[in-house]
Amino acid sequence: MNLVNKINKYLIERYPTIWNTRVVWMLAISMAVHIVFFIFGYFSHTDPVSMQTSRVMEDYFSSGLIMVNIIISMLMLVGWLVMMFKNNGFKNFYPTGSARLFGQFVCYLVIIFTSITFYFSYMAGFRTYINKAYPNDELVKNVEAINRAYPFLSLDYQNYKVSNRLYPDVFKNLYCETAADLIDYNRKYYKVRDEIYQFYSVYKVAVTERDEYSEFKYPAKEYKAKTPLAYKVVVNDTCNYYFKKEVVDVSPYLRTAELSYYNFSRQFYKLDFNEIDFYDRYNNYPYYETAAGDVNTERNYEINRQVSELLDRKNPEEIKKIMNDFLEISKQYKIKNNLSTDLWFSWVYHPGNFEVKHFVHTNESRDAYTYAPEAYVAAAVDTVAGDAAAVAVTGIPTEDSRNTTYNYYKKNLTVHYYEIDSLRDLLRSVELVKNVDFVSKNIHVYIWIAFFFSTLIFSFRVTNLRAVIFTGVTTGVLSLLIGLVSLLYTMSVSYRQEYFIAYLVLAVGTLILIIPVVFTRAGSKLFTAVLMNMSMNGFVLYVLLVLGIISMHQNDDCYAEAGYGYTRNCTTILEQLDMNTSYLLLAAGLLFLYSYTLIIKKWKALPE
Amino acid sequence: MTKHEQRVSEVIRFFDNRDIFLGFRKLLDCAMDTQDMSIYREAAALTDWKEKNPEDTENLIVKAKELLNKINNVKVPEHAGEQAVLKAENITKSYGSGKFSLGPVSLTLRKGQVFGLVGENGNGKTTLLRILAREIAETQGILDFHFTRKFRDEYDLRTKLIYIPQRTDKWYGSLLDNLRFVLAHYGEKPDEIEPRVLMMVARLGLWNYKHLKWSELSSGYKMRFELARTLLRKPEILLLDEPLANLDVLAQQIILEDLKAISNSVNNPIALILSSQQLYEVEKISDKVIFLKNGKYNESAQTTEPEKQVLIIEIDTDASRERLLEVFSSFALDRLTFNGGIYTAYFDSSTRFSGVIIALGAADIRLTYIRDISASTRRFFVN
Repeated sequence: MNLVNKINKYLIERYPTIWNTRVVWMLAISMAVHIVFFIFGYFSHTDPVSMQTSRVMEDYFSSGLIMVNIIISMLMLVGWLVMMFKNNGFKNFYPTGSARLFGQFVCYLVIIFTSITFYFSYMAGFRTYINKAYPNDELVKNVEAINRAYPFLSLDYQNYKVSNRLYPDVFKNLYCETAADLIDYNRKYYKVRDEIYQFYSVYKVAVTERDEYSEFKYPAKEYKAKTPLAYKVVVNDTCNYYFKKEVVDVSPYLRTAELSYYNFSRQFYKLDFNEIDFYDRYNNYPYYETAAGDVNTERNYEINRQVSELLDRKNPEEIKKIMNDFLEISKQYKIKNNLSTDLWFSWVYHPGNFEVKHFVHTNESRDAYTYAPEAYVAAAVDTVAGDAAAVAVTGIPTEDSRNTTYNYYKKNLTVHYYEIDSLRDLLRSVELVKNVDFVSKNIHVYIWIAFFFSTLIFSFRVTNLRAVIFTGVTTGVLSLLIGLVSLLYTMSVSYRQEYFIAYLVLAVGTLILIIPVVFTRAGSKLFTAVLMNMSMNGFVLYVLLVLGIISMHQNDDCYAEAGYGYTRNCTTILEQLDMNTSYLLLAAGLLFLYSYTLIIKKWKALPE
Repeated sequence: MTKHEQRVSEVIRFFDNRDIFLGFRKLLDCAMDTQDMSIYREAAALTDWKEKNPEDTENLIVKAKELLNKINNVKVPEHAGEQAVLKAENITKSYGSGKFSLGPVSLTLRKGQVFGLVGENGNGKTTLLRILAREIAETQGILDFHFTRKFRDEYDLRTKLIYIPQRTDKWYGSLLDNLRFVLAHYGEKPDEIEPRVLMMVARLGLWNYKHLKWSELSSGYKMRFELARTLLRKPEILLLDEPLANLDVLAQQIILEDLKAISNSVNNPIALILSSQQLYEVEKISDKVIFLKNGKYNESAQTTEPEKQVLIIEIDTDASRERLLEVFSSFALDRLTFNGGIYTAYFDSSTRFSGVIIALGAADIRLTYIRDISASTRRFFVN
């Protein structure tokens, strides 16, 4: 207590503003709470199971910690205000320069900002733990091991179809047709149960032109010749159309068209410490990759090659080791499963064609593969079995609807399971926590909460409670009036109403800003105080409105000139500034408040 | 002999006469004039010692004299400003037609002068003070301020116009912190803040109260703390609204004497205006009394020339009116009024107060109270 008093005395004698705003003590308390939240964050996800969710970045908000944060912040700020409101030099007409007055505001801003941003410390703690528990080099090794074992997991049957085949090289450039009505039955094709495959060589036509709907144009020559399209891939501003050239007989390279581990060409997880965008990550969810649009052919080829070569070596120990490593990692990450190396190996190891004869559930409750699209397709085929006769007329062989691959899969599902989604979620969570820039994504929210709260307190400190209450009431009434006028305009004139509203608010805002500066003595002291408070609290929004109006004009002018063509770049000032708008507005707000201290002092000196 | 040395020798005489209560306060006044921090520290230490040893008068006198010798050795330049610090010309304030209006009031105030502002309730004392403090705007008239330290802008002027309203705001937090906070704002050197605060606390007799809370103080001490805060601001002009309200008679006397002494500092004199209902007490210390009646102030009417002055005497007695008339029959009695408690007798200018007292004594009239109010503004109240 003695030390506290000593520090207080030191501060009051030298830095009355710092003493008055209690900034030193508030920063000390904030620091302590930040450390507590860092520790919370550090120990929040020590159980790997907690990482097996796709929403780990939002845990802070969904777990209720945000409520703890809000309560602590509120207690701190209320306590702070009680302490700070004990003294007010400005109210007592003690000599106060612009710098000192502005310094007060900066103190408020710093105090509030540090008292509400515990999220950052929590996340920093969380990241520190993740970096310690999942070091990068270990993670890379583990993902490699997982990717090596994944082909043998046999969780679905789609990935084992021959249409996935990319190795040997000949398959890489071929297109596998699987639609029954597009098969040339006079040429070599493969049939397994109800599945039909035919391999085509293809040629590419690259198109960059677009039509009036801004869609890529379809190559005219092929359109005229009715050349069948295999697939198309859009890369940036180019659309690559792949047209079928001719059927290729791949029998020298293909021993069977049955489901086989030889066909597996899908990478389970790709670590990329550079690709950090959270939302991009969600969009790259593997299920959304389609064969036609798959730009990762090279990668898939590589995987297919590795799997094929591994199988060709026919080395049981090597495969067992892969499986064992995988299960070890699964244990480390606490992924639910009931697999054992030996049993699993016995299902997989069928030297020769390495056909897939056993399947594994993807979750403990064993409602396996409910969401696989093929399941629905298969079910649909069942119901339209009546159409089979019609199909037969066109020469397509009819099959017993029960003889589908889906049924084959269902029949061979074991009681074993492996929760692969949990593994994927865990890896993604770890990677996100390591890489996502949580500070710059969230800092703006906190900056602006702190800024507006600070201007409000500042208003109260330099004017008085009555003025602040009247400011609130006046703002409400003005908003209502503007709303009503806008409504009337919309109902009666309704010509470019967004401009009308924007300019109306701009005009009112300009008046509010000008009156206290130019006509300080025009109205009563209270009237000027209300306008002053509105200016201080609303200046940033005013600047934002100006930027918004400029953007509106830019946008409209640009489209008016360019029509709906895509040739013109219609970037507005707001889009150009992007997140920097926030910093720009902050700088504008601070600069404004600094210069506004002159007006505040002038107002304060006014007689009533 | 400088004014400062004169004062110091005066204080030494007080101690010689064992007028310790008065002497000690005057000692602190002299100490304050030195603006020397080592003297301030010693004065604070002596105050502390005095409060801890209230019975040890002999030692106190010795210690006080030692300090006074040191004080005497410090050169204190005399303030040499004869310029008016405040000049108000024909100030009026009206609150709309038919409502109260103040003025026109003109006055000129120099540093070291004390003006008393008296008048019945609702006659514009507070309004006038607030206009002078620029808290409210005058309707008409010219207000001119001349400070030693020039003011840069309106806000700066307001920092120098120090007005204490009748009802002061509550203080929060430590009392000493509040005082330190003032000096820090006024840019006082960090190491001078503590001695200055303690000096002021000592001077205003707050030594034993400095660690209390605001709510633990009586209203008299609250007023004193408010005064301490104000005086630390080194005011050149000080406007006090009813500083004596809520104080007992003794406290009123002491605070008035203190105000007079402090505003009469050798090197930092203060121009002081205070409003009050306590006519007698205010008149005693004021250089001039402004009497406001219905917002009007008639300077010439209030300064009548001595030869034209009638003798007005207030008498509290249980004697009957007839008996008094009988006693006063030999004097040129103009009229005798009775307000239920007190008689007011008006004689012409030839009558002497002492003559009236002799007559009353000879007639063996029992007197509870008698006062010559011929020169006092009290005469306007009883009129």
